[in-house]
Amino acid sequence: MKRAKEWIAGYLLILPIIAIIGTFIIYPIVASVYYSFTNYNPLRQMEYKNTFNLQDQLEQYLLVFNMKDLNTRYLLSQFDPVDFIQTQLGIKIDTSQKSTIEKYFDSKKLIDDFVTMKTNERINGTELFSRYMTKDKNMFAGYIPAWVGFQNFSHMINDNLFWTTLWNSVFFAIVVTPIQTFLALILAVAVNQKIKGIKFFKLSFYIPSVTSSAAISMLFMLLYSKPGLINRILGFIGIPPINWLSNTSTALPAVMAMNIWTTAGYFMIVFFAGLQNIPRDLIEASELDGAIGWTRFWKIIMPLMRPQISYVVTLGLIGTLQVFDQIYFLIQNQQNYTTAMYIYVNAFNYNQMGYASAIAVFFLAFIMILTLIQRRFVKEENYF
Amino acid sequence: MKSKVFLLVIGLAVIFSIGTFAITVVTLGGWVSSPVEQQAMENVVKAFNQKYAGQIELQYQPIPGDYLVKLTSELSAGTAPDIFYLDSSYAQQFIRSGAIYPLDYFVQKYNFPVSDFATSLLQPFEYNGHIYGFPKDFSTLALFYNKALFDKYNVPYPTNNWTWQDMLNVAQKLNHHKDGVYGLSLSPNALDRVMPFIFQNGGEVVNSQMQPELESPQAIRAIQFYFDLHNKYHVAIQPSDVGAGWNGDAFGRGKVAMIMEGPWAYSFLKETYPQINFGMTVMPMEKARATMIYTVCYAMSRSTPDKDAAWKVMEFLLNDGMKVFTEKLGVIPTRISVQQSENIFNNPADEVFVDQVNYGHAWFIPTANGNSSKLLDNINNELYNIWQGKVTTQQAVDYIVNNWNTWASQQ
Repeated sequence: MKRAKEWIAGYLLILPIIAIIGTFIIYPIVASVYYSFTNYNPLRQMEYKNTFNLQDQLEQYLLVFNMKDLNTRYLLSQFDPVDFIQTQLGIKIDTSQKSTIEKYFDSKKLIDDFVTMKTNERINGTELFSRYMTKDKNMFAGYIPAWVGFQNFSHMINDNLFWTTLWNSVFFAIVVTPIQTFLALILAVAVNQKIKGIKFFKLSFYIPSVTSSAAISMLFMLLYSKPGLINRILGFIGIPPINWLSNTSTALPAVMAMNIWTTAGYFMIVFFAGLQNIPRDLIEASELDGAIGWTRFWKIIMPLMRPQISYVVTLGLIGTLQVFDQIYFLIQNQQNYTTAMYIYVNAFNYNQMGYASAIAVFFLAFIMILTLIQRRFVKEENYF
Repeated sequence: MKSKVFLLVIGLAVIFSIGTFAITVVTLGGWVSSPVEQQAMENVVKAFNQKYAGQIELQYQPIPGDYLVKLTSELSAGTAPDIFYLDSSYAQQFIRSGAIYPLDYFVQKYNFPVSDFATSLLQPFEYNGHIYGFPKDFSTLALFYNKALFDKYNVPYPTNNWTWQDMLNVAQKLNHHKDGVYGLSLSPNALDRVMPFIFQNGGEVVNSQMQPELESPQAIRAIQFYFDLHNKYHVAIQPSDVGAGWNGDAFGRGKVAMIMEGPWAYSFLKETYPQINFGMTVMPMEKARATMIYTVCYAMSRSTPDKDAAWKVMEFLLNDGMKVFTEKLGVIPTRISVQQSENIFNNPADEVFVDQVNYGHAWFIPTANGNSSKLLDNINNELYNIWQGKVTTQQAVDYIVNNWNTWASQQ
């Protein structure tokens, strides 16, 4: 009894976080796995839910301008239920639904109700079908995206642009992750010194990672532009100006450099905390053994920082593979898109939610496998 | 005391809700390209609300940010405005999905003069013999030239029967890299800017079976000429080469002598670069005259509760609204009757844009399922590869034609 109470109390306490994670993480993942096997079109979401006045809709479809002296037989000859549903009500139907409507839709009852003004009320598509279908009403309960099996995935395999974007993402990750990790470590060691004014350096290293990505992107857009600062400095050593972001060969490296600059400061904090954890006596003991300067860095600090390195590399890898905002702001050409950007474009610009979900699902699996492999190589051992 | 306040609140709520039930509310959404435009639209809305006081209340809700993305999500959630803007280039995508309401009934019921619109302007908004939107205004491309630069290098101004060769010759004379002056600024990755050249050379982009016609010698030669201006003759630059965001900006900075843009560039230049002394003329020609027509329509959402009221709004926008927009913004009205009414053009330059409507081609690429965004992005990407010299025109066209149906057919 007491156990059960504890059990209930425990779950009640974690209920909020379960609800939040369930709504915003678990459900979207499950939904996108489902959508990846369908041709889901979000614009059709409302087609059975839109409400309309049935009387008005019939008037408009049958072009009735005056409700007096209506000829039921004439109206019935003018009424095509399939066309009415598709054109007038905007509900798309597939071939099996079409033949069901042709067989079981009670046009006569509808027209009779129309003439006697019984249709003068607001209903939605689902209600229309439940009233005027004599059979198979449940085929028209709501919008269900068509199941297409592995079609989205096979399309993905044949999509050259998808492979280009995947390569861009991988290229981004394998260049940025090691550099940002190493740079962050160096910065952490540097700010761990006891020099005057170290706070200023700490602050200036950390500022890029707390500044909004949009603001930084705007700044770098100016720096990278053809008459921009970077080209002027390069001009002094005789390098002709380059259109960094428009040129498809330089655009991605330019964004990478910016990404390293913004994230190194963030990971520096992680390493800095790790450095603070290294026991003072260990450093002193190693100094007595003659480990100073670079020897100390490579032989003492690096091994002791392995848990932090593993953490930073894992987070860095996932973060760079998913990079979206800076790409969204700065990249101008399709061939420089990363996969995350390509997912967004497919979903929201091309209206291909199913295809976008398929890429997202593949990409999730891809990142998971890469992370597992990476954790094999960089083991999270604890020395204390 | 407390219960009295409570009763008062209830009473007010009841009165308020009765009030809102009696008046139909219609919402209007669209992007805002300038504060002037927003103000003009607010005036139109005010005029409508005065005319229909007590019956219909029009609420203007401009959509900021990425319009296409916002509109898609609002339509899928059923929260979209009742009437909204729809650009010709992607209108079919929305029409085919069933999210837009057909207007044929209202046209018949209220005797709306469809013939007052040029057919080329209605075409992007038609599907299966039904009309889904009426264009609010339109733009065509014209040739802008910087008179100061032409005078400086002693070159005669463009005429209205220039050929490509004339344009190239003049561009070469105006090209002074040392002074930072170039002949032309072109959009390097936009099919709609290459298309006029294809039409001018007697080519076509798609045929009636919605298949690409880019491999015809006429089309190839046109694309070749467009990109040769940059790659071979070095007389054309892209806007970002001079640190500009778009052609109009590059022109305004006095870096290029000629651009091909629409009326939006005219108002932009007048506002942002008032010191620039420029002229405008029709697009150059080769075998035929051609330009692009860009148009935006008012469309009605399927979720609109009172469609009759929404139609009244639309009719007002297409009548009184169009007149206000023409006077205040200098846009080109789509209705022939408005075009012909007196004193409508407060700037004579508008004539250049209107004159070209007869040989203009509406900007949209028909596809079997109405979805052309993916197709266009891929084509534009490949065009930019020609600009960068990564592929030849022939290679790019072959690649585009081979992949056309894959890009156009999905879903």
